[in-house]
Amino acid sequence: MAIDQAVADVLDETIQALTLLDFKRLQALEARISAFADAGAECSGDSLDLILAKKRLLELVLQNCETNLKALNRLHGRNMRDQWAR
Amino acid sequence: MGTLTSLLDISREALLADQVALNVTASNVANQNTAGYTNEVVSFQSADAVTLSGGSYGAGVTASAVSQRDRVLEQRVQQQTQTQAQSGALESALQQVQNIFGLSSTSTSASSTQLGTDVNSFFSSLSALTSNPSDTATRQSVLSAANTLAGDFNSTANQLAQVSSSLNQQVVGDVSQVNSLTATVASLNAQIASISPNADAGALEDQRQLAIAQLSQLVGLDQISTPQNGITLTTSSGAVLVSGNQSYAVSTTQVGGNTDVLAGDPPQDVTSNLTGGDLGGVLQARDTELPAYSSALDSLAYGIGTQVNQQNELGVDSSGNPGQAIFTLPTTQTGAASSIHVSPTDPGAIAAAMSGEGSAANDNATALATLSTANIVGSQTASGFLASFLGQIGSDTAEATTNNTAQQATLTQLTTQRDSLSGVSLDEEASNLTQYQRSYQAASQVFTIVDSLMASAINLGVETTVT
Repeated sequence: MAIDQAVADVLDETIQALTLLDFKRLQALEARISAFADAGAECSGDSLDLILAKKRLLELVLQNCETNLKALNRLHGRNMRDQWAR
Repeated sequence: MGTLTSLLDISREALLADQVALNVTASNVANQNTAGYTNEVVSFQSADAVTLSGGSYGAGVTASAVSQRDRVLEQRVQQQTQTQAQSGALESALQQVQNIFGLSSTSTSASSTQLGTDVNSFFSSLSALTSNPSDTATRQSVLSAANTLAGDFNSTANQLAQVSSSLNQQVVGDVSQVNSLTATVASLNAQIASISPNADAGALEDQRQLAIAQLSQLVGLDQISTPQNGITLTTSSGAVLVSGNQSYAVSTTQVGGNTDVLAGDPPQDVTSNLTGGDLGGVLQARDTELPAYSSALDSLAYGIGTQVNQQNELGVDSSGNPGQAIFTLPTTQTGAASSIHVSPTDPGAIAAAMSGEGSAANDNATALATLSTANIVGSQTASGFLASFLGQIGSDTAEATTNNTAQQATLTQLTTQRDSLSGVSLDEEASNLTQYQRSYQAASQVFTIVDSLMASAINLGVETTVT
């Protein structure tokens, strides 16, 4: 159960960090997640639904993030940014 | 070299430029909590140098304010606002549906709901009748369970209709707000065109962006930049809402009991094409999700009602007469849940015995009880269908909740990016304030020194003084 809670917490923190585009925190979380993976941590069946729901949420945020970054890159590529300065 | 007078002019311009800078800082600090305000920064520009006798002399400085605006990011925030508002409205409507059926985020079990309990109780009462087919109290309990079940169908269908009705009212409210905001945008377009047709219009631009952001909460929009710094707004389906200084009112009309939306010039029904914003979510819930749930509920009521009626009509009642329908139903399943009711009031109307078996027998009661395990709603049992149906509602609501949370997170992400560029930072303003204050003091010091030099020049060789 402790592993389940830890994984759920990491997912929550990742969603929050991604929401704020906090790259330092994301890098720290990446290290924590790698540690989980290296340790071969496995979640129990009881919390699986909750963890999968958080994973699904993270996937959606990531997809939206990717879409937005691509769109912003593409639109900024047209050099539209400075023409509104007065 | 430049004259003392030109030095005075340069000092004066420096003082004015620093004053502009201090004004910008004051404005930023004053508007730090103003919704939609875009931070301004000072742009200092040196005046054209003057060349005299082969020498080039500076001619001072001018300062102007520049809005820290990223139009691309603004538009992205607005698009995301529309997506989030739609998912929020859909989630809200589905939560209401979930509450009607007594479901929660942690429990979507059919047996724990009122409808599930009532379906089970009805078939249990029929099962009990097989043991005591001639017992009046047992027969009465079948009628009571049937009445409870029918009442539950009526109540659930009515509550779904109320949700739909409340969504219709929401459409009217949204449309009214849309009209108010499009009029504001059109008016701001006109002001911006006359005041600042070729550049960012500062506060007016902020007000227009704020109005468009509020519109984005209500409806999906497409924006087109037009000459004279104007913005044309259309619905996601292409109906024009604002063009230049003209706004085109959206209206509503009643179609088949629903409130539909008319937009464009001439007005056309755009209900089926509207996406985004609160309106998009409300219309999706009202026109896609709710009809599917109502239809499933009708199927369940109609399936149970018709099968029980048919089986009861195969038996004989307690008086030995052919069985009659227990449930009154419409001819088709549409509206079955809202109108189903129990016809007989006499418990003897339950046809427990088969024809020719004797009125105290129980073969038909057994057949009626067996309906609980028969596929009477499509290819499913009543309980199985209800479980699938409620599971679908639970799953749809959970998906809508997850989607709305993700959209909200994405909106926060974009808003954070925008605010980091366009928001007011008090730390930065405090630093700027000190810098501009020192600059102002330095310019005034230069002014004082030049003044003193000029006095010396005027008094040159004369003992009387000009101070």
